[in-house]
Amino acid sequence: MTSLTRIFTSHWGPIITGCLIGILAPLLVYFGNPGNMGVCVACFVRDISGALGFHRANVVQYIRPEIVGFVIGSFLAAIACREFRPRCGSAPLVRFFLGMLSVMGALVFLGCPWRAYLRLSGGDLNAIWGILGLAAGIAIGIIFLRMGFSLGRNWPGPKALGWTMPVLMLILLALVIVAPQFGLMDGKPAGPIFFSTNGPGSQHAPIFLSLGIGILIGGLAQRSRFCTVGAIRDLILLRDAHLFYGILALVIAAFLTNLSLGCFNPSFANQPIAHTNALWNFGGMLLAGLAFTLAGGCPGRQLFLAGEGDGDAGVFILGMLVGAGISHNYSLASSPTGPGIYGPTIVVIGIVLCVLIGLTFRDPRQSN
Amino acid sequence: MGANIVIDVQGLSCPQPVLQVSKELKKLATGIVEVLADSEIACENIARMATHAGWKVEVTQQNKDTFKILIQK
Repeated sequence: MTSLTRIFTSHWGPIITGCLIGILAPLLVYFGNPGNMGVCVACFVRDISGALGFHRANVVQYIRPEIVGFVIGSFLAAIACREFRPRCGSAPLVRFFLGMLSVMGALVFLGCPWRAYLRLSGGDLNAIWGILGLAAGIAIGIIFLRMGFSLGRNWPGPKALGWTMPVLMLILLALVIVAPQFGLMDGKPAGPIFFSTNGPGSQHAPIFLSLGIGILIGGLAQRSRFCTVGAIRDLILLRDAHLFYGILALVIAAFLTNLSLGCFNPSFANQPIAHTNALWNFGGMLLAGLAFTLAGGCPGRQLFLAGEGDGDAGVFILGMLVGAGISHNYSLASSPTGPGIYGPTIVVIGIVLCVLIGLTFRDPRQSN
Repeated sequence: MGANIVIDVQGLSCPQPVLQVSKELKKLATGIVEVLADSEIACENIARMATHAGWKVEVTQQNKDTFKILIQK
């Protein structure tokens, strides 16, 4: 057990995890998930937000078991390896806000960093603008980190704090299986829980396949510290490429899997759940990359941290859940036809707010 | 042998622990730096960075949630 887990915390860990995600994500598409969306934390949180009734965009409503699996897998791995450490208190309100802004940016691009890489490996060339925007956002975040940006320290909490997100995820799992109707319309039961009958929300792999793959990825990613934002951040900031090799492994494995499944279609136009506006593909991911960097990691990493007891990461995810609802209610999110009416506005406002956060937050106990 | 510098990175999120220690190591040609951390992840990242920069690193677990990292050259 020890030597096995040491492999995952070595430089091989992110590579193995990246390969696995690169193979499993296209397989999830093969088994029913939307195109180039085997795994997308932003899109899946948006779908969950819709299923719970936080927005009423009826084509993107489904409780995605992959998200449940990520948290549960990480939780189990952390318990097994004695890394379950309940903690909270590092500017949770600001993290909630960063979670909101990050998902708003990601939904202008139509994907989180994971999906940006998966879109690229499926031949969606629009993802290049998103990845460049992501790198630009991370680079701006690094400037703030070098200036001493910090959201402050967290503090140990009771065990029950660490159990909160895993239990919340189990409730979501129960809701997707039971599919209760809490609402009333003309006296008759009507969602939530809402499930799309057409569009991306209606496309999904079987529940327990999604859950199983999510648990596997969650467990491995907790051990290997896999992070799609940390990969670029550490490469620029510390000249440390070990996480970045995980991204390369993901892209290569996903490309080869897509190729063998006949799902590699290189073009800008007519890509699944994507638009061709280069400027706002770039801008949306710049906002997302900046918000993720200030919060300490990509949305996948936030889920894995939440699983191992980090209450602040849990708050970030709840911020994403609310932000996704706002994105669709306020016409901020893009669609395959292009950015939403107010998408560009929120990107500009979001970047300004992130810059203000980056300039103003410092750890009062910092040692010099 | 006492440490020249003690850095407490407990409770800080990524990448601040490694960033703070890296900043201090860059100021020193030789010496002993003691780092207090509260997670294995911080230990791994700091050890990787310091080893790469040519420092000797020794990590000891003080108790369940406290690690001492001794970095010397």
